[in-house]
Amino acid sequence: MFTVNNLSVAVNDVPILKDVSLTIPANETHILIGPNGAGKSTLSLALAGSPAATITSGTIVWDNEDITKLPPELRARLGLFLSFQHPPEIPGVSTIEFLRTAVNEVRIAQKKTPFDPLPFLEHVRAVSSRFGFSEMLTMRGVNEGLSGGEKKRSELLQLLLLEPRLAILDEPDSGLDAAGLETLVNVITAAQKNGTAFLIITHYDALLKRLDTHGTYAIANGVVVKNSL
Amino acid sequence: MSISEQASRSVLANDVVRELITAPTDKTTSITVAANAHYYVSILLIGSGVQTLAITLAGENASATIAALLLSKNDEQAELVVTVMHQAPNTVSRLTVHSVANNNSSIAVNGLATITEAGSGSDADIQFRSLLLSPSARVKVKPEFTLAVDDVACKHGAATGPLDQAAITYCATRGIDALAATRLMLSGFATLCYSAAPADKLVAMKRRVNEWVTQNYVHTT
Repeated sequence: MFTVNNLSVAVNDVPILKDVSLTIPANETHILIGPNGAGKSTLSLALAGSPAATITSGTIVWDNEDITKLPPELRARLGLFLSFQHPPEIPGVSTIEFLRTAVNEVRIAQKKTPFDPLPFLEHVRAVSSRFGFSEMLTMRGVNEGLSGGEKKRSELLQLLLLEPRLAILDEPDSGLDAAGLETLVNVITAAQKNGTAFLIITHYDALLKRLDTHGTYAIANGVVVKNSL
Repeated sequence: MSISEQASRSVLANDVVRELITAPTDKTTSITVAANAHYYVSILLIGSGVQTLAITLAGENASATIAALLLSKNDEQAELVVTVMHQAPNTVSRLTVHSVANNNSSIAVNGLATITEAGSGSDADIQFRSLLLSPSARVKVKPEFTLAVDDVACKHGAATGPLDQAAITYCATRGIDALAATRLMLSGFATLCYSAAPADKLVAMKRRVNEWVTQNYVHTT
């Protein structure tokens, strides 16, 4: 159970979120909707532990552990994943090396055996092949020179490889073509079957109609105004 | 014999030469590239010293690709000067220099491409990228062109700054802590300068860079 209690968040000392509360039980998928500028991305950054979003009050509790002050890398190692709306490029850093470092950090923290380079490469190829990801995603530097849609796919590939317990997807469907939306649905559905819970931020019904979901939160002006649980 | 052990040398017509310079010589190394010849040089300067490289593209369609990486820390002072003289038509030069300065160290990089009256149709590109790993580190870059004719293509770019905090945060959300992310990003920054290196020197070059990255204390805030 992932519980957000009366969370208030500021960015550059400007209050953005006020007393936000929501709950995501294990293995459930919840949706977060709201207009542009409502604070959805700020909430996703705060939940992931980004220093760009300062939590001024409230708590985040995950399976009875207060993670409010936990740095982002430790949240990730607990199984929290954030798919960025606009992931940054990291020029020159091999995507495969980046992915293996990330996956192994998480696996080591979860007392699993880390991947050696060759088996990891084979694993990435198998996952990519299963979901139809282009090899281009892993041949360049991290997100380097990728289009918006390719970056979304790269985030999905990372989700599959990291096998999180909770994935927060910040507008994963924006800028995706029809094939990309199909891939997104397939990835989410597969991860759901694997036990991943989701908080999905979206503006589009096209995605919602394709997914099994358990509840919807709506946010406006930094306040959660409705939930249809 | 490596280029750094002799003061001057020519690349013969139609030849392709790849070289690696890994120690500053404190004297000018001169290279003359003949027609249809291609000269690639990778420069790795770790620590203090001065390296000056003067390249003359003397024959039509000659080209030079220079990719350099400078790494400094503590109170080290490093300087790289590269001049490329386009003395024949349709010659091409590519100068890419990446610098990483930590602690109180300083790096100066000067790149000058001169296209003479005989160099019509030539193409020159100078790109400098620099990372400052501490508030007191300094990198000074100066990309320059001197053009005697109009029908040429020249462009340059220069960017200096600290490590991208957004990228470090991105790595953190993937379970990679700041120190590991910094090392990953520095290694990536260096990778962009390996393109001109001789294949048989690449492994040793990468090892030296990775040792520097691993051993060097890095400020991440």
